[in-house]
Amino acid sequence: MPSSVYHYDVLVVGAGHAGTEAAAAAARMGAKVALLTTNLDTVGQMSCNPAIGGVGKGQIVREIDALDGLMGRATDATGIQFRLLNRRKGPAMHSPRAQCHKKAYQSFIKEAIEDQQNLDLRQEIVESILTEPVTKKDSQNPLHRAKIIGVSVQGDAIYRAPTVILTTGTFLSAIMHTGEAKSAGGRAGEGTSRSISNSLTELGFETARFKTGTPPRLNARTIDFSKTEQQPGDENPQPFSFTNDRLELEQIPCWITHTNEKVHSLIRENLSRAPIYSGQIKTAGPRYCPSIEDKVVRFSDKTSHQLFLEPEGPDTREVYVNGVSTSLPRDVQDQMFRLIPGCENAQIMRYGYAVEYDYCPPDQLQPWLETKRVSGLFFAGQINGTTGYEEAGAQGLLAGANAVLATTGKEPFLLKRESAYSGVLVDDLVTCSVDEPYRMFTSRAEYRLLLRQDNADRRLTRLGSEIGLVSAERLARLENKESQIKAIQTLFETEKIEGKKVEKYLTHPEVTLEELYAKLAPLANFEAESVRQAFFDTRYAGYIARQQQQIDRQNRLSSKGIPQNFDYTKVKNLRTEAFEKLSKVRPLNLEQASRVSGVTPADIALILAYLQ
Amino acid sequence: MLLSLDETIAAVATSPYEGLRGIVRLSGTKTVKVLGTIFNTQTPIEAATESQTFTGYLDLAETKVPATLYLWPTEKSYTQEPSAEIHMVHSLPLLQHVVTTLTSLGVRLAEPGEFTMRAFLAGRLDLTQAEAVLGIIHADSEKELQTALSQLAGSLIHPLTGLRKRLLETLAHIEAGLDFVEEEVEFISESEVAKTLDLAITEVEALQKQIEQRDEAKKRWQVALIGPPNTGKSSLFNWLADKQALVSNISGTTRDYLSAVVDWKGLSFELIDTAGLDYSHSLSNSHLQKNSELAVETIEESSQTMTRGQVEQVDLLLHCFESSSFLDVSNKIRSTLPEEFKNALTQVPEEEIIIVVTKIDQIPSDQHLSLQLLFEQSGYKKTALTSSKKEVGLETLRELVTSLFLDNSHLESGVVASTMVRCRESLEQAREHLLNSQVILTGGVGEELLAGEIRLGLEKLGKIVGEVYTEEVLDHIFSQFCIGK
Repeated sequence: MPSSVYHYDVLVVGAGHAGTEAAAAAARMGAKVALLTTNLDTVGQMSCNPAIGGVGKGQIVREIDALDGLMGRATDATGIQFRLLNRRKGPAMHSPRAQCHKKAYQSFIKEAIEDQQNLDLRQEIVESILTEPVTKKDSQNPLHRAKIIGVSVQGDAIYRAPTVILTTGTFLSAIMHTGEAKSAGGRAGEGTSRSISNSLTELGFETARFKTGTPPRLNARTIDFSKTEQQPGDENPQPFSFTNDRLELEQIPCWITHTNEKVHSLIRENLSRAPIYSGQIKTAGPRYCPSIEDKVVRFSDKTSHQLFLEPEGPDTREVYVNGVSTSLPRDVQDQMFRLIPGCENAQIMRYGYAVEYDYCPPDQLQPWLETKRVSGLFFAGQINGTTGYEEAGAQGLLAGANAVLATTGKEPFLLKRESAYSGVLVDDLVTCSVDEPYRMFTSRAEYRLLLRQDNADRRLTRLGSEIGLVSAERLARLENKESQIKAIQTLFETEKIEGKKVEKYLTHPEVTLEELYAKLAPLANFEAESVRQAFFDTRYAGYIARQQQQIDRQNRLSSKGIPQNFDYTKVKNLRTEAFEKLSKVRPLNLEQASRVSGVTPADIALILAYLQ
Repeated sequence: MLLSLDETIAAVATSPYEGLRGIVRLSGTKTVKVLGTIFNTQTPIEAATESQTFTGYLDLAETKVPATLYLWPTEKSYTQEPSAEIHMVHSLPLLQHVVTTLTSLGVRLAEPGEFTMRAFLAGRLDLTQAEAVLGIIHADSEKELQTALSQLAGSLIHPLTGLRKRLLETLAHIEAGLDFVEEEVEFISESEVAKTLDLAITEVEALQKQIEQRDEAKKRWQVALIGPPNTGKSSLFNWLADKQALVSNISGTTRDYLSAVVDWKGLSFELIDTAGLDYSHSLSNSHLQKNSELAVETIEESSQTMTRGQVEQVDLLLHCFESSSFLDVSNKIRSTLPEEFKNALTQVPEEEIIIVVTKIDQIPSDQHLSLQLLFEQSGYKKTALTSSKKEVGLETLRELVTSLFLDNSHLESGVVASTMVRCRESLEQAREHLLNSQVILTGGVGEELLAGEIRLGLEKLGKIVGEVYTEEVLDHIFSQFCIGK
């Protein structure tokens, strides 16, 4: 027997963006939670770009915030530059993004975790995942091969809990590459957790490998910014959190420079020393985040690539060079900057590198992020083949909530594709799995006109409140906003501008919010945010109604559930491809089944016939 | 996705043979209401409380068609919901017109197997039966589409594939502009989008027109007589056609070749004579010899020539050869088939051709069996020895033609009819979405709305040429642009 045994409801392994949201969410719901990390000084660390948000991602952060998560508040508190991307496009495309003070962000998250009731943050190195065989009594789910009972850690101790959430990031069997040099580890200066990889393999999980990379960091003192172009933040920075009405801060600009033909020649000459071209790295990286060597090879006709010099904070000179992710050897990285305007004398503080790591193809998960194989075991974040802090955070939050619901025997918390980007994210993962690191794009969301960053609270806060995830204060804010919007909509229906009902008047695309304020005096009595939302809702009412019709049609199919133990072999005439895919994905209902790749309407008809 | 069980559905549900009745079937709650607006009869059908038969006529936009209506106004029906069958004269364009009219009244075109599904859900079939029927839907719907598309041949599918590709590319560029705003790339300009949309609309409209014309031309199966000159094609044509007393130089069409409607025991087809054509001409204009040089033709000749497209539309070729061409110098049947015979046939799919040996009376009757054997041994099982003069071989020919049509039951006209309606419906919806896209573009309402509209247009085209997947859009973006802030 180990000398120390600790008992919890939920264990979270890993304290990155997924792990911290998971632990905080579970604790908010009243569960007794332990968050285990190998290093207390890297809780909530921004391993790559010190920025939060972006197109599709900013919307996710707003959703995390609407469910009372940490990311939005941390960004508001530690942001150094805020920009609303796609501002000139429609409201569904508006996407907040912020540069953060890297170290302050981490501290904010760590402190929030430390302050959270019911949550113990511990520095531990997990050695293995503990399970026991399932008995009929334990689980009605016939897919379960084992159930989780906890984890053992170095130093002769075990943590017992009915649910464990693994958020191990890029640390599973990780190898870093800089040129010909290889070293074990998931992040510069840190190790790897091979023992967890082994545990997962022993439990029968399928694993696969992905690659990702990070660019060099430079010392700002050695950069000549006069040769670069300034990129300022927005004049009126918009907060990420629905709990903040405005932001007061001195923003720090970013800077833009470019690569050139000389840089590209240098890279071409040294391609044989780049691990992705020398054959040292065999796994695929994300196409939307290519290394500089990849860009030069694949888009050889481009004579220049844009680079963003992004400061990591007001109290450090370290600058993140966005756009030049690389695993070229150190000497090539040094020479490269000699040729880039403004960076001729720049000193590299950290060299860029690529990292290869294990992930578990996410079709091994249920839509509530519990593994199909082991009851009580949840995965969130990069272990599921995603990239991005935001994607990780959303999964963590949902896994945390669902772990608590599982311990209390309640229905899982599932977000629909039409309710949230987070819902699209999880549904894509479990239904279609991944073949490159998954990142959110707005084009992945078929109902994106409904999924605006400004209405995330109206979409999600109430749902979160129903399961105890959201504070009463936040719900009260939502209710106030909703009643304001309702009152404004009544105004739109009853008042007239230029002889037209306001709601008609607003359908003209050239009418701006400012004009509306000028022509409808009573609007001044309402909060600006409520007016803006009522304005967007009314202007896009026709498109929203049409998307709603599509959703209603889908919902008729989603109301037809498929039992977990459904035996697809019994469906005669089901094609082999459909049989194989469906047996693996195990969709919850016919609507999800219809989205599994390779499944045809006739397959659905057959299953429906059998289910009746 | 299909299977919204609360919608009213309709489809052509007819036996493949002309001469029999044409049937349009409906099922769903709106059945009585919809039929009430287009079916004229002395007693109003809305009054029916139990299954009842009405005679009257369908009041369609341009025409009135006599019809019998079998109505099950309540849940006591095969599908356990109000349903009906309209029985009328069999004419494909007309049946399609009826279905199109119904869809304009809020009825949806039934998906393959959907009536069966409803019958099963209503408890009319057991699981095994339902599975059996639904199981073949895969094959059938595949075949159905293949048939429709092969009938439309290059004339529809190629432009559609090209159109879809261009729209998809445009969509990808617009999406890239939305998702990758921080890249320093102008993904696509407004004028480029406008140009693509203009072109797409023009193309869809051209295709719509083409389908309409195609419908006109394609009333029934077509069987063409081809072969070298003086093989007796014309005599055969006159004999086959004359037997039916239906010879007519179909008027009001653009076809200048001779054709006649032949009706064999309810199997009716259009027989086309390519008489007067030089052998090499008739082949060079068919798909048999794609690389042969086009012979110079006189105006008279070309007016007689079936266009390549026309030959591709033909369902069956009766390839005529004179019996004497199979004799050797000593007036015995040859031991092998002549080379030019084989050359002429190698490229024709077996199920689309019957070999007709003409003037069989010109060789001694004791040689007939040897000739038959020669064909069989050489792998040509579908051969008829005929003589128009002596009126020999009609039965054999008729059996061969009938069995070929039955074997090719995927050519089932009812099925094709549904597909044609589907194609037409999809094109029309696609056109509407493209027109909306134009409005959104010129109104400057927003690229995300524009993308949504183009996506819907593509989705409609996708019903004919494959769906749009987000992955495909992303593939386009990443292969064309250097993304990667």
